[in-house]
Amino acid sequence: MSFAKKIMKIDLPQIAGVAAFFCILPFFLPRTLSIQVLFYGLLALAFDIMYGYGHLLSFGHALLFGAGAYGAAISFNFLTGNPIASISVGIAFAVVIAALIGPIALRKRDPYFSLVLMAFNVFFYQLFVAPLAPWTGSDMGLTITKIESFGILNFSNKTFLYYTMILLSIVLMILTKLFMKSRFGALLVATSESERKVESLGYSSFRVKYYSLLFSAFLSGISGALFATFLGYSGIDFVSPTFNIMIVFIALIGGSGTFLGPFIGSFIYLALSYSLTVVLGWHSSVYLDGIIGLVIIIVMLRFRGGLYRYLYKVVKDVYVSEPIR
Amino acid sequence: MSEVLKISNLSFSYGEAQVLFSINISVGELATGIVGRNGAGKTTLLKTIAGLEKPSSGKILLEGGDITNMPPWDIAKLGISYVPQDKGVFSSLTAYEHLLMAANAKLGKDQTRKDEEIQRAMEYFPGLRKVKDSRASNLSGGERQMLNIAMALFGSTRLLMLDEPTEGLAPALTRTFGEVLKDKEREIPMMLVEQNVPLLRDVCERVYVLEEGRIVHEDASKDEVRNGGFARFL
Repeated sequence: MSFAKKIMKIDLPQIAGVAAFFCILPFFLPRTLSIQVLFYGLLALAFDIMYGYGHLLSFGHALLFGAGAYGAAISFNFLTGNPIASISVGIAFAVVIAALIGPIALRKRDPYFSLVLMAFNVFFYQLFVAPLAPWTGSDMGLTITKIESFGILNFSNKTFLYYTMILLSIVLMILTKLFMKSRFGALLVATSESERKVESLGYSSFRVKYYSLLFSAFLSGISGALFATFLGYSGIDFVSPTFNIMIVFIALIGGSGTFLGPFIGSFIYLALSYSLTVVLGWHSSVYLDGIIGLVIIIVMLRFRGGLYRYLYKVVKDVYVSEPIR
Repeated sequence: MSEVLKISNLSFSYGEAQVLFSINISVGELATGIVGRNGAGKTTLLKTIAGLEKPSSGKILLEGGDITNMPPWDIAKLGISYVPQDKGVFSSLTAYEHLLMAANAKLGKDQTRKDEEIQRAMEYFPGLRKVKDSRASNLSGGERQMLNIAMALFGSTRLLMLDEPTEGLAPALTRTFGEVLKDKEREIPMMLVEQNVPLLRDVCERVYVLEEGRIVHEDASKDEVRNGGFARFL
């Protein structure tokens, strides 16, 4: 099938809808928060490739996001100010980490897979805090000190940069859709249901999961690298093991196993955090996790399967695209 | 008659519990039946041949080549197709995606051949054409079984292993499967685990009876199978 035909098979209105939403979001929310919604949404989508489609609950995607962010930031400060090169370093860092830890984690399923990834996340977090502190800035994070302009890309113009990030995100969303519509996406879903049946058809289920993890790492890494580039900073929180809980929440609130769910979850999570901070002031952080926990309980009980599936049912007569893939 | 599959002294244990004891089986170019009561080890035998279980000892040779302990995906690529008893499908995928997945595994990038074989599968099982875009979770038991057998027939199948393909199916559908199997029996060597005596008599040239993990009887010719010596063990 030609590339054009493959593009036509993917659900372009969904991607156009997400892009339009993020184009107008800065009129209602601060631009930094808007870009955070976008990249946390992409990160949750990367997580959901493994969980929503592969039924592999990952507690290691913060590591992959943080590796992308730190890889890019370290490269900017110590190697080159060229944004393409530094963002590529960030992506490569995330993918290499996934390539190394994947064969160990993917030998396990269910709680063991999650715990092995969590253990690696804790290990790398400690590595970033202490032994690598001269390069990572330890728990202060790393401020990017030099970013060169690249062609028409002027990094001092944040508005222009914001819309460039949206364009790049559209490309990533198309890539994700192509992946999920490809035979690999079908195999990942099949592997989640019966690894033995997939193997008796002639496929190695390990390879299916491993390549899916590498794609997921690519998406997480690029989200982290672009986010750090936009902020001009990489924070230690990006690689913190507790960040994984937020990624899981975002995917579950929005609707795991759906394309739009992670973006809905990201918007709700961050809009709620922001609103509570505005209403209650900075001490709201004391209540924030509790209130968000309450929202999650409500969503899980009242809107089982996430908000996207609920909204999908409401507008089903208007928009009849399948929620999955 | 040339030998497609030869199993020598095959034993298998689940931990401490031995399930198969020094099995010796020869599968020729026509269908071979395996019968026995529940728990006799029939399904374990097929799974061991398919590479889904690792034998504790013995050898499995496919047309003379050793396939013992090979991973299941390599065994499948060599042309051994296994249709399990559970009529299992991937519930989130459509029937067409199932066919495409099997075609991709066995026919690689040859798109023309893949399209031809998918069309042929739908001619064999016309019921699949109607449900090709339905999620497999919505298919009936019979449709699921059609799908599984259609997937197993793609490419150059050197041995088709069917585990109770007619179990739980309506009589009319059982007849349809019987006709397809009888038709395919001339083209593809088959190992058929079945309880359906008329079907076995009709299709098989050789039948082995398995009891508590041991071969206790063999009908080694078409005439012996027709006489139904194996049936008294059921």
